[in-house]
Amino acid sequence: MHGLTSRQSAALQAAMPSGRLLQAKSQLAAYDSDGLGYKHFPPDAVAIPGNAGEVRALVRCLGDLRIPFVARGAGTSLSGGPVAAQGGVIIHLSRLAAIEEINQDDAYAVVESGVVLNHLDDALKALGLYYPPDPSTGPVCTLGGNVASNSGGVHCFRYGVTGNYVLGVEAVLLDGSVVQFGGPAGGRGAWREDWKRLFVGSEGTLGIFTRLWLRLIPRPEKVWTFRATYRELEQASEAIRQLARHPSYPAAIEFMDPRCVDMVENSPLKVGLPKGSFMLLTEIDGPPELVDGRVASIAAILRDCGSTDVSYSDAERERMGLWKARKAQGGLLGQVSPDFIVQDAVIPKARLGEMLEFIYQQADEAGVAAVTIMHAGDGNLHPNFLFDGTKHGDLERVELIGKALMKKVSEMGGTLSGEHGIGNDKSAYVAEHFGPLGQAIQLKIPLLFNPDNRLNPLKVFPERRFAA
Amino acid sequence: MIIDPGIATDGSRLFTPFFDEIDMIGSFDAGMTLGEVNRLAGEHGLCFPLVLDPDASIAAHMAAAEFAPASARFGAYVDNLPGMNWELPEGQRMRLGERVVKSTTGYDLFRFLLHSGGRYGRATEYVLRLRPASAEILTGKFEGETLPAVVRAISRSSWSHWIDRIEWVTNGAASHLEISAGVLPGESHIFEEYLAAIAKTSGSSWRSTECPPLPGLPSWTIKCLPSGAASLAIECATATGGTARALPTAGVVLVYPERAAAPGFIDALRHRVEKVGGHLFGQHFPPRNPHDEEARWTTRLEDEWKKL
Repeated sequence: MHGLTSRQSAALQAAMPSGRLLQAKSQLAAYDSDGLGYKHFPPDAVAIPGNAGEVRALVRCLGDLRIPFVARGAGTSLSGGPVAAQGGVIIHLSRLAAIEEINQDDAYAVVESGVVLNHLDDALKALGLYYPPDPSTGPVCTLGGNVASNSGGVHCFRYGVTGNYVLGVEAVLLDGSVVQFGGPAGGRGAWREDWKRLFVGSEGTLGIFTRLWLRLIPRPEKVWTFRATYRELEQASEAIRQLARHPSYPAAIEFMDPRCVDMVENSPLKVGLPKGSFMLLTEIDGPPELVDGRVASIAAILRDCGSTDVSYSDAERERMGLWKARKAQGGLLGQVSPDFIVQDAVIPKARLGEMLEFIYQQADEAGVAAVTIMHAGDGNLHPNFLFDGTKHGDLERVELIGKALMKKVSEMGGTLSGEHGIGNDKSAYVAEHFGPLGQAIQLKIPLLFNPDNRLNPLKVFPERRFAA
Repeated sequence: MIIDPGIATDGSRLFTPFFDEIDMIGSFDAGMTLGEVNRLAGEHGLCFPLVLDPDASIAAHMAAAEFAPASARFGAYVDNLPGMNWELPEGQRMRLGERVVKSTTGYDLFRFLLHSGGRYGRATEYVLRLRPASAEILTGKFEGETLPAVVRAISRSSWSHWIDRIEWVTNGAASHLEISAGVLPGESHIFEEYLAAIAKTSGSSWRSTECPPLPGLPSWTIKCLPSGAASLAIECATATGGTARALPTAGVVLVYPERAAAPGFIDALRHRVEKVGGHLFGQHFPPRNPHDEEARWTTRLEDEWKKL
């Protein structure tokens, strides 16, 4: 697409309530990238429907006009997912923000897809209920976006990812029809096949979520947070191994490499970690009478693996202090570097040392700074590469590292994305990861729901191009 | 230690045999029994907790049920099997899913096909997520007239995260709750005190005792609302002269019929659970016929995969 025709523009204006179709360049600027930041894809227009009915009408109108479109929540994706890679219209869903029901007897919530994750969490706290997926963008990211990219977060190791909590989805399909897969009971409903499973993590390429049924669990009454540092990677790795196998099932096991620790300690947000150390942070939770008795054994693991500075607490303020370095690193990346790429891969944990060495070698050779964090319990690695997009060749160097990294991840038996999705950032590596037959069978899925790739083209698979 | 990537490098990208003690994950032949899996895993202090019948193969489990009693704590099979090698009806083999426990790479064909009943092919190998084996297992029973109060108390506290099995067992006429929890050394008394307190406040009785082994693979299972699971179990046991086991925290009923239910019973049941987004499933149970819209998708899918 190269801009809307006057006929298309007028038809869209007529289809949308007044003021909810944005077409001015200054208005569209906010929508030309996602959390990835450094790639820009200006849409031709942004439509802001207020309810599922308006989404349906808009999708029908876009069908009549043969315009590609992309669903978008808060735009916090880190994979280049909710951007108009082939132009067209962005459907911004943040007005679908109603928490429609919280059912305590059957432990589920019904929400519109534009509900902000932390708004749901706030509503659940008072009821002693818990929705565990917790990507770091919780204060702004929307649940529809979380389901579309099967988001994770720091507590996935024990609690699982978004997909583990999706009981049902309501989606608007390409022709404007509405389907409901699953529902409060979390099964298939009146369908023979489990279509819901294909829609979770489909990155907006099969339909637009308008309503979600989400499973809830009792909120853990007590949480203990532990932090430790290690001089050697082998010590940290052994602690990760022992924690992951401990029957107290830590909810989180987080890792920061020495370069990341140094970045924090060289900043005003320093917390007193030894420079050059590997940091581990872990949490256990549950009923107080159970979890309190497990504190000593977790602290012992951390100490016995070689840490001399194990700290732990169950007090909210102290716990947040222990988390500070881990939470601060994301914001610091933006302060110390004009641009950065957060990569997302899952590797067998036994290969962590080899992978870190590979990252350092690639980054050092290219003259690019790299700091790495990891959801260590499940091997979900986030190397962050810092660069300056205005400097000639910087972005190309980082993209070459990304390519080498993804190849290495696949060779190790890992996967390209654990929680961010593929978007258009990693779509170039998908073919090699799946192999020819695996790729071919994957590409049959959009044929069922999105045969001409008008819905979120050029995402996940680069072959998915809309031919106007 | 050298960890096998577990994925073929010949372009097929199939899973190859591997066992990764650190990631607690391994690949197993579809014909291997879960008893055999657990013997192997046990040598490394690990286990696969979702067992219905230790003498039944992994493939037989996937054909019979989507949940096992330990799903109360560990979730459905789809959340504990990260991948499989899949053979299409025409014989082509491919990998679905991953050998790591977390992935959002491409469409989730693995979960779509895992319980698809042979309609699109079959699994030849499965990748199983294993868990630390508990040194000690606490088992016992709740009995009495106030079992719903026991279920409500447990399901509303984070104690429910730590109880492997909470099963409402019924033959239609009488019911009791069976409880099983893996405990750390020295923790048994904490669980015992909690369960005894629940019994006291709910007016039921609790005793620590061995629970009999499961009756094997269920003939059919129901995915339903948690609050309706126990009453559905009673209804199904009564209608079939058999037994049923409800997982009231997960909204699942496993049914072991002794005779066919009266005409119309299954259709009425199916209608009720589908209305709330549930379904009926089982190896001895005919899958529902797809309606027109779904038939368009399934036919296209079959046709497209035939072209591969």
